[in-house]
Amino acid sequence: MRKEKQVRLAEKRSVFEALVAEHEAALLRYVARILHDADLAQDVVQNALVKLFRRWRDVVKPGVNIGNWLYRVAHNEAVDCIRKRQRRQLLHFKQGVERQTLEHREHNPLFRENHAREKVQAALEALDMRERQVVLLKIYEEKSYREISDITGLSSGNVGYILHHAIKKMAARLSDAEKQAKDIEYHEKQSET
Amino acid sequence: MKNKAKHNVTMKKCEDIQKSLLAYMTRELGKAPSELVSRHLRKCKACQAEAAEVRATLKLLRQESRAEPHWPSRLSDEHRRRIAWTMDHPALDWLCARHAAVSILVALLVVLAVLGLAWRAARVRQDIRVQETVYPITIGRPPFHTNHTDPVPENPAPEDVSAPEATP
Ligand SMILES: [Zn+2]
Repeated sequence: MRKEKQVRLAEKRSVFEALVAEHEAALLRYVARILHDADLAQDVVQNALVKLFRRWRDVVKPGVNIGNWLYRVAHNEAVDCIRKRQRRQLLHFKQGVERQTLEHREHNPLFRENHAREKVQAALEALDMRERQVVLLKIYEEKSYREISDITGLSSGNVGYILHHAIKKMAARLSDAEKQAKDIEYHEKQSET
Repeated sequence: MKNKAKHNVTMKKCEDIQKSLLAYMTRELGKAPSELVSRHLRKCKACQAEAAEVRATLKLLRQESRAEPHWPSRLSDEHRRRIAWTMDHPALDWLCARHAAVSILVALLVVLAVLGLAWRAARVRQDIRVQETVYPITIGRPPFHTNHTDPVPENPAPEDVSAPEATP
């Protein structure tokens, strides 16, 4: 009886380890993009995997896509993380931190090179969390509407609707940024001549 | 009038087409709707402009996703150890997962234990007080003999014992 239990536990461990190996990279990438923090992403993904082990019987069964389940749990953990961070920033020296990052950016020689990427990131940041989640899953993680629907709990129609609006918002923001950049370039040339 | 109605129908159609452009470009539309969109795009300038904008945004996003720094693709050894700990100590992990409930329960038990001890101590003190007041009555001594450190005689007084011998 005891031996049988040990065998079952060993089987569970090996299945679990295979699941970790299969999903850790994608989860780390997804959470790091949401948090912009690779270290915090490690904590979040670890928590999601621990939850999987704890809720083994509810999750590891036919009809449940474990990858989608992990995305959902990791996303919720990441959102909790952002809330905690926001609360901390509100309590502490929020303005000081913001000023520091801005100064750091302006002195960074890579900043100008990465300007196009910065713009896209800023446009992504301007979306609300739901829109950002759907854009990341669709464009970055290349998930289908059905998979996104399974992860988020939204209907496929709703996923399409949110994506459409998110892309429209981003397009408007990016074309504004483009226009501004062109204006600045034009004024710089004018002042040089 | 007829023209306006026709215009409204095209507007409605364009709106629907534009809403499905992203699904069309990411291959989420079925075969028939995809053909409908591509046929419409061939002849509608407004929807072509809209499609160009969506395509440009998608392109920027995809570029950005590929150019992003390479995030670590593996959990650190420290995080792996934490997961292994969960697997090796399911009972302790169960307690950790419910640490809030467990600490409330422990606090409650401590409070109950303290209250229980205090109640017992109060009862013992009350018993002593009851004994103090009852003592002289049960011993049957006169009230002025209340010094309860006096030893209580275990055997009857010697004169009582000798009394029946003297009677015959
Ligand atoms: Zn049109």
